[in-house]
Amino acid sequence: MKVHLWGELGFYGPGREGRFEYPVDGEIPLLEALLAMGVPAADVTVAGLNGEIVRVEDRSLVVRDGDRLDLFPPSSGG
Amino acid sequence: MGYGSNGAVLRVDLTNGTTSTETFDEAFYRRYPGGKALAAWYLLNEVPAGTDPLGPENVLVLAAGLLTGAPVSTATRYTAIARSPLTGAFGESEAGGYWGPELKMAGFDAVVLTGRSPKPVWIWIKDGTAEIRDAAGLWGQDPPFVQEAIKAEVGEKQARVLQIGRAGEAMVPYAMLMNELRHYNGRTGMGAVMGSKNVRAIGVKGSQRYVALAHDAAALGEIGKRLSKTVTEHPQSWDLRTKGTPGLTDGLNAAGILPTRNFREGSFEQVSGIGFAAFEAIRSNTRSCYACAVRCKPETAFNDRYQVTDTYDGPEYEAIAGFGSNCGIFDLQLVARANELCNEAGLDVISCAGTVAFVMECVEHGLIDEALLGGVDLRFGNGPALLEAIPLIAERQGIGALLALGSKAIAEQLGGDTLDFAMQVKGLELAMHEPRGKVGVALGYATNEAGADHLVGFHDPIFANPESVGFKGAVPLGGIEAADVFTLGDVKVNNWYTGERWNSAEKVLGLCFFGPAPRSFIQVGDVVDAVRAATGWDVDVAELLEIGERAVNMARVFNNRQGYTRAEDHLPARLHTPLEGGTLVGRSIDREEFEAAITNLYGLKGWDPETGAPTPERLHDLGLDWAPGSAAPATVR
Repeated sequence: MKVHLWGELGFYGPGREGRFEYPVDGEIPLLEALLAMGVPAADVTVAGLNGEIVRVEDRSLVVRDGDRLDLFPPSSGG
Repeated sequence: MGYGSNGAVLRVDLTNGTTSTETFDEAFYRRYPGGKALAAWYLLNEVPAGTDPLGPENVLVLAAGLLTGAPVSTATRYTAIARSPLTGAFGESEAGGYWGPELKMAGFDAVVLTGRSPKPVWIWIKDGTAEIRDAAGLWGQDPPFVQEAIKAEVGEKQARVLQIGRAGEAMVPYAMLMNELRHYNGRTGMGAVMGSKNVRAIGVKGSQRYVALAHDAAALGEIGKRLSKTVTEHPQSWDLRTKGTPGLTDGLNAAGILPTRNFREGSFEQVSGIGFAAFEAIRSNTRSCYACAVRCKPETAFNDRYQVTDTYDGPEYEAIAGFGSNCGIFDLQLVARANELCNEAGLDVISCAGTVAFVMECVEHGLIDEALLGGVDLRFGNGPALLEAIPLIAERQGIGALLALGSKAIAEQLGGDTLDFAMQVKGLELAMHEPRGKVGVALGYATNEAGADHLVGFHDPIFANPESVGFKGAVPLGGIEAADVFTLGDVKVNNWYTGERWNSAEKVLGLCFFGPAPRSFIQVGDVVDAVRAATGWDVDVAELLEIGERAVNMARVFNNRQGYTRAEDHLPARLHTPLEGGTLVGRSIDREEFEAAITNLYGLKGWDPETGAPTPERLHDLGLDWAPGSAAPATVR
């Protein structure tokens, strides 16, 4: 699975890299994948799964090998 | 042992060509410690109702914060305050960089400019002394020339220079101030006020260090060292350090809150052209403000489709969204060039971009006479037309003469329903944050005394999840509860009230929005410790919030005196209509719910629900009984 941790979430990527491949065997729940990657779900405000906006707290969501997962943090002032 | 301040303010009487020093005691500083509070004190005392913002009777105050120049990351900022030529209201803008710290090191906490010089001048400040110098050779020149000429004239390579550009000389109402070319007091036209006084620049050099002013220099130094080590260990400051504000664009787009085509939509279909990947391709360097470990300031340099040098800052996120998605433009190289043109002329990128986007929509509707456009086809997506238009603003030529008015004044000229989509409050163009997806920001846009600025409170996503880093950072402020981004209920209003007081305190202390929690890595307790070490005062969070609230109320009283009431605390009508596109398509801010939230907020603040003015009881609680008049009590001064 291709993962892109945007903004401050890149802090939690391997070697603090925001873009990486994450191996998925079959399919796993999205929240479980976040936990395994060490990304705090509480700091994800928007998630994109294969280009579609999804709610990260939706427990019915699963990710599979070959998916693209984009995770965005709360965005404040600039 | 000191209390973090010089106790001295430089006054410059430009009409008579004289300078003097005004002194205050420690008790005064505990109430008005610096920055926004100190500057607002002068404005209330010296600028009566009806003052012409561009007349000699207006007063421009440049005030460093209490901690400005301290060896603590993000303690770099100073506030510029005057009656605004763009809004007619309380004008205010903060900037970081190097000028504020240098002013403190030169023995002054603030500079107060009064009157008007009969000819162009610049002001030289060094170690407790000041003189007014001739600026005939500087007027009309580009900022880099002015900066170098001043440093050469005084033989001080390390002097710090604050200046206006040609837009300030021409008194364009959204002209900015800049220091060291890369740090901007962008908002509310403070550059036009300085230009109206015939002052092109203020150079400053100081020999003392901030720690000489501190109560406990060793403790302050230790706090600074400890914080510098943690800057890369916190996700938010790590993000600012590695990506800077250009890292915001993609996330805001995904969330549906990236202003697009004059706030009609909230996502931009061509965001990849202005997103972070596009920014990385043109980034040349990252710079810092004085003694700040965050190092968030982006620079770009390239010679490709357009040519941009690293002379100025940015483009920051505000310029990227302002000239990019909000003008329908998806070429970041072009956006960077537009940003450079604004900086070179000395224009606020937010108001410039907001005004351009508004005019683009008017042109699309056929509302602007061709003769006024002067052959510049300013429509959404036409980047070359944007680049043609910007330099004309400072010259007030062709379409520039129209754009130089700002969106509210243009709408008032055009009439019809144009005010409904002139995206401004009190005349100040909205910052690039779409409030239909974070409605607390709308409370700030509507009620902020200076107009629609984005740095007056916490943005709603911070409060959405009580387990998030940002939320946990805000908890020590007290009374913070979780609330989703769309609610305007009691919890949101209370959170907003707390955030506004805290942000205002940051402006008094001289701390950057990118320093303290909940936005970043310096925890609330660290701020309290730093103030205690600097001053020796037994301050706590409650006192800092009160200091922030006092400054807000001073700004409010100033506006009331100028005739502003609750009637001016409203949003542009477009925000009460559904977003036309993007992730949050269909979202709007309910007008009745919003009015109820404002009433609720006024109640928390102790403001009259009809007039929006602070009650006498609230002013008394804040030690501001004197404020509706114009004289401070002698026991305080």
